[in-house]
Amino acid sequence: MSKMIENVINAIAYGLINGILYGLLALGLAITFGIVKIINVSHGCLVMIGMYAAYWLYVLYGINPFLSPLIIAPLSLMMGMILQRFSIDKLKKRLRTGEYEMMVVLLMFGLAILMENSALILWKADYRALIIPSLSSPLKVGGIEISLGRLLIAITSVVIYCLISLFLKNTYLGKAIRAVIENEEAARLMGINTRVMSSIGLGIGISITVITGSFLGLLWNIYPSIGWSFLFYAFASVALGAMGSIIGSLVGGIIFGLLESICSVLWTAQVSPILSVLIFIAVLQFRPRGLFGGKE
Amino acid sequence: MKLGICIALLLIVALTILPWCIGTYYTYFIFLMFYFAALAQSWNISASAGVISLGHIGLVGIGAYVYAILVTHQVPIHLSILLSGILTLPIGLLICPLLKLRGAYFTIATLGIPIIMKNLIIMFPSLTGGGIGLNLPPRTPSRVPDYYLALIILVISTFIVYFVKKSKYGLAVDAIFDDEDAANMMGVPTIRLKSILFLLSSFTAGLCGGIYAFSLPYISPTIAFGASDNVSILFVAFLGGVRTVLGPILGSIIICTMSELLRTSLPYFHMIIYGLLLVLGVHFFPGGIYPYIEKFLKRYTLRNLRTNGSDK
Repeated sequence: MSKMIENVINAIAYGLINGILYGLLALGLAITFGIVKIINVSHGCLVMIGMYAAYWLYVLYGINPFLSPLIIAPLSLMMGMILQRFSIDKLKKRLRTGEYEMMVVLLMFGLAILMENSALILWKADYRALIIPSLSSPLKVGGIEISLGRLLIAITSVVIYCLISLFLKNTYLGKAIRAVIENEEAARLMGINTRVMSSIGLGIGISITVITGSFLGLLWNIYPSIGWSFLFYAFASVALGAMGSIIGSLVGGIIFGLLESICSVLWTAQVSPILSVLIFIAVLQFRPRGLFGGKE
Repeated sequence: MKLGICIALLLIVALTILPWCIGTYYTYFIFLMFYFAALAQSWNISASAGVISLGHIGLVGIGAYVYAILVTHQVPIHLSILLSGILTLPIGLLICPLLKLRGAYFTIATLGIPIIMKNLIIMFPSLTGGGIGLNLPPRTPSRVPDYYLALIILVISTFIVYFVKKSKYGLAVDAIFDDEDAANMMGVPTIRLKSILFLLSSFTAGLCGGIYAFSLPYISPTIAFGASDNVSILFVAFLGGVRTVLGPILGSIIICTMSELLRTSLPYFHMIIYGLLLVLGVHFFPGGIYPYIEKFLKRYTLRNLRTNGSDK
């Protein structure tokens, strides 16, 4: 029986860490959603790109995965800005709202297919694992056994999370981006350059996603189609916490992370996806705007 | 409009005779075309009201499994295919309460459908064969029955889309697509109408699943709920033109031909080219290809009429 309790405690610790990562994924998605106004179906593939980036930076150049975000972040920021500036912005200007949304979903789908299959051709379908001996030594704290890498990832993610929410709450740029997310028309009337802000916003959303991917690369096997398996959890975390709420996405992520690990300890692995979907649907039935979204 | 119906009937007759004139390869190729067109059309039924579902493959997979389970229990084939459509309805009915969610929330929730279905099927191996899958009874090499079944389902789903567009419900559906709140205010029963459309969509999706399983020797969760098929459905529908009657058919013709050509000439790159075409297509043909063709045809016929008139 004590073995069981120990397992559950371990599962909670693991779930919490996974949950923090899911939360970070959800944050990236929430910002992207706020800017583009559609759910980004290429989100998972961006995660996959982040995983491969961390892997190759380590294997080829020996760069520690905790330092690789310094290289990955500016690149992905630029990618997002270019995407917004040269493609999404143009579509938005030309099309009606309903059409625009459909076309951007399609655009993202196209990008996802492009990314996944480029990865497939460049790096083959082999499963790869990013193993760093110095980070995989286990730490034992009161019955909880956890690797150093995992713990560091959790801490770094929380730090990134705090930095981003500070950035969004306290700087002019962050406030302007939030204003654009909330109401673009009003933001423009207030003298905010909405085009620049939305391209920076999308860049930030994408770079958070890719950075999270680079951390996930330490914990999961890496292969081209892995992105799709994160998709539902990221979407659901955003929707559960409330679209556009920063703290909501973290809470949503932690709920799903805990659910996943506890279910797979107590029952079989198949229960957790089913239960997650059901809980997600149940919450939306009673609070259609998510846990932090307030009543309609 | 009478002309259009005549052309459609002639086309159906021609397509009925066609498989006797061509070989098995082309029959199978056209079967795939019909299958994807029917899938996209069945997705199009609910999309016409702005109900964008990303879980359509979940319904298709259920249809496929219903067929597989029935057939392995010695139920006649045609009855099993019909039942695969009918038994998908209760699943659609279970999803209907989600329709009160708006926009992105609904779309995200539908992503969960295939996840639930796939895991449920893995959890009950005694009935469904679990993750290993089910062997389907052996069949003749001829692809003609598949061809006819797919043609029938394509005609049914196209007819549904056509009917919805031309009837008085079509206006209500358009109103829901444009502005759901306003439509509700004007007395359109939005939720009920969306539910009916979604049920029709799930019925045809189940039928599609049935014929898909019928064309296979063996079925497993990864085959039935293949993520790439989910992509193809959207791809076909969007490329041809969502919310048009002929768009999905056009999309399917283009995609199937292209993928067949690319697969043989550029074996590893065809998916990349897909993705590129999609990204470019969005910029050059927003709204799908069909509306452009329609516009072109209209202009052409109008000019013809005008010149004819001046001659007289």
